[in-house]
Amino acid sequence: MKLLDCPVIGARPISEFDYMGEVRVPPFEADEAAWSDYVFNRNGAPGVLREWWYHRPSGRWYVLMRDTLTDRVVGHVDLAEVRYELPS
Amino acid sequence: MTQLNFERLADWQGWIMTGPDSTSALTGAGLPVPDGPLSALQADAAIVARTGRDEFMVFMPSGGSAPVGEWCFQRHDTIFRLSGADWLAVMAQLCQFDFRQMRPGDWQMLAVAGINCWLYAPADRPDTLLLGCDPGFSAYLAHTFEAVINDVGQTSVDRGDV
Repeated sequence: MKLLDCPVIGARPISEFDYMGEVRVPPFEADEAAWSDYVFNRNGAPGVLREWWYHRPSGRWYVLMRDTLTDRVVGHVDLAEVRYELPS
Repeated sequence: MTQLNFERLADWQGWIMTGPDSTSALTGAGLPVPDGPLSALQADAAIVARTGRDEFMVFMPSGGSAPVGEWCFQRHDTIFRLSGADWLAVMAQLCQFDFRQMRPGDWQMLAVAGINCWLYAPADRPDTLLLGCDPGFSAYLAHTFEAVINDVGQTSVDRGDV
């Protein structure tokens, strides 16, 4: 069984989580090229990513810092740090 | 050895409340307000768990003082009580979580036999665990627990207590 070592709730089976991708901020005031880049392109280089993880039993969201080279969770980010305002 | 027992608490009721008024809804019903997320407090037979910044779940036997609020909704979880000295052995078969870490009064939300559940270890009954789940999975969960209890019960170690 693969475990996700969440810094907040501890090691849990990865089957309890949904992976919801890298934390990214949409380029609201950008041209089509920038939007196209945002939608279709990802940086696949190994490194530490800030990623959304949803824990289904508790219904809570976490932003975890995961090293994609070693597949280890190295930290946790407060949700306030990744919050952004939607354009009015 | 204390005999393992798994029973459904049919007379319990529950609520979930959210929003900035949730704390006042709890205090208005005479219920305690847990401080940290994923923690719980017990007042008489009522259990109050904090499941988010301003989200709470309340469970209590019927007849208790229900919380009232605009964003307070009744839940219909099926609630089970697992009791007996060997309940750890049962849970070890059904869940990855290390229940040896669980202390009386602790609240957990995790998958048990693949089903999302909340679990509460009553502070006043150390050999007891309460579990709640979506009622759609209650028959499966009850069947699974009964099978595991039958299995574990035959291999349990007699600790010498009556």
